[in-house]
Amino acid sequence: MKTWLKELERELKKRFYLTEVDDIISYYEEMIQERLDNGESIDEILSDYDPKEIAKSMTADVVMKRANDTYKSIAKSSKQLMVFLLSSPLLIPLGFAYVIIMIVAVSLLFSLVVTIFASIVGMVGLFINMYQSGLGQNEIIGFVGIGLMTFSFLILVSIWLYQAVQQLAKKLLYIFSKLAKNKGERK
Amino acid sequence: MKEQVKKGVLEIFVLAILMRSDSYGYKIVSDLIQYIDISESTLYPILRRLEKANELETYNVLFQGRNRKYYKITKTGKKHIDEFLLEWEDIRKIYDILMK
Repeated sequence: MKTWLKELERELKKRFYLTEVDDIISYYEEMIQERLDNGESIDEILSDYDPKEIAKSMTADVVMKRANDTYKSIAKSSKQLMVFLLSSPLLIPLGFAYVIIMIVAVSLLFSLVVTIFASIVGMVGLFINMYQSGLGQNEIIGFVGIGLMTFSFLILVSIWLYQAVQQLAKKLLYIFSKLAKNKGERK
Repeated sequence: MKEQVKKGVLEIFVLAILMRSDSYGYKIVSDLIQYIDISESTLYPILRRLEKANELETYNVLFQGRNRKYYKITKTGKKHIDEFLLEWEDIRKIYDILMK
């Protein structure tokens, strides 16, 4: 039984957080104890449970139940879901769809960052140019003002977009784990 | 859709068992097995889901030197049953039509 629990723990640790692992382990430990007390033999009991299957069947459920609030936990859950989707033959199409959507979202964010960076560089260049061309101080200050306003507006937009992508990732995670779960149960 | 219904029904089964008295994992399975096809591994996600939804609470009881996790239905859980029964009133009527 000890070795079986260790194996289950190993399988679970590949996919879940420690608190989740502990919860599942103690659930099965209790189950096994109860059945032992009821006079069933240990071999009989353990033949009912396959650690790999348990870990696998739990993935969609657990990932969906997570709050997925921080960027890090979204990234972790997304990755797990991806691996899970791609590793089960039935769910591969779903996995591909998920990967593609994520790639699109990430590249969108990336291009936004690049745009902002480029516009900063461009603006600095413009100011230097203006200074050199001998414009009056007032004009330059005016332009700097406009530049800063545009810039802060851009920052606002990017923050908003960043949040939108995060929300999207969260929603996608939810939808896809739900889909995966339904498909898995239909088997 | 069918899976969705089945899942909902399983949840209600568990809540209904807990209406009789607080219970622990193994006992819930052995009680339910008389009515439906359920195993320890199917029960776990259901319990977790219900707990997350605050439809049941847990507490630990020491039994023969080891831990037993007990599940207790909450107000929200009871409300869930009531809503379910209300929704399924129509199903009962269909059943009545067919059985008459």
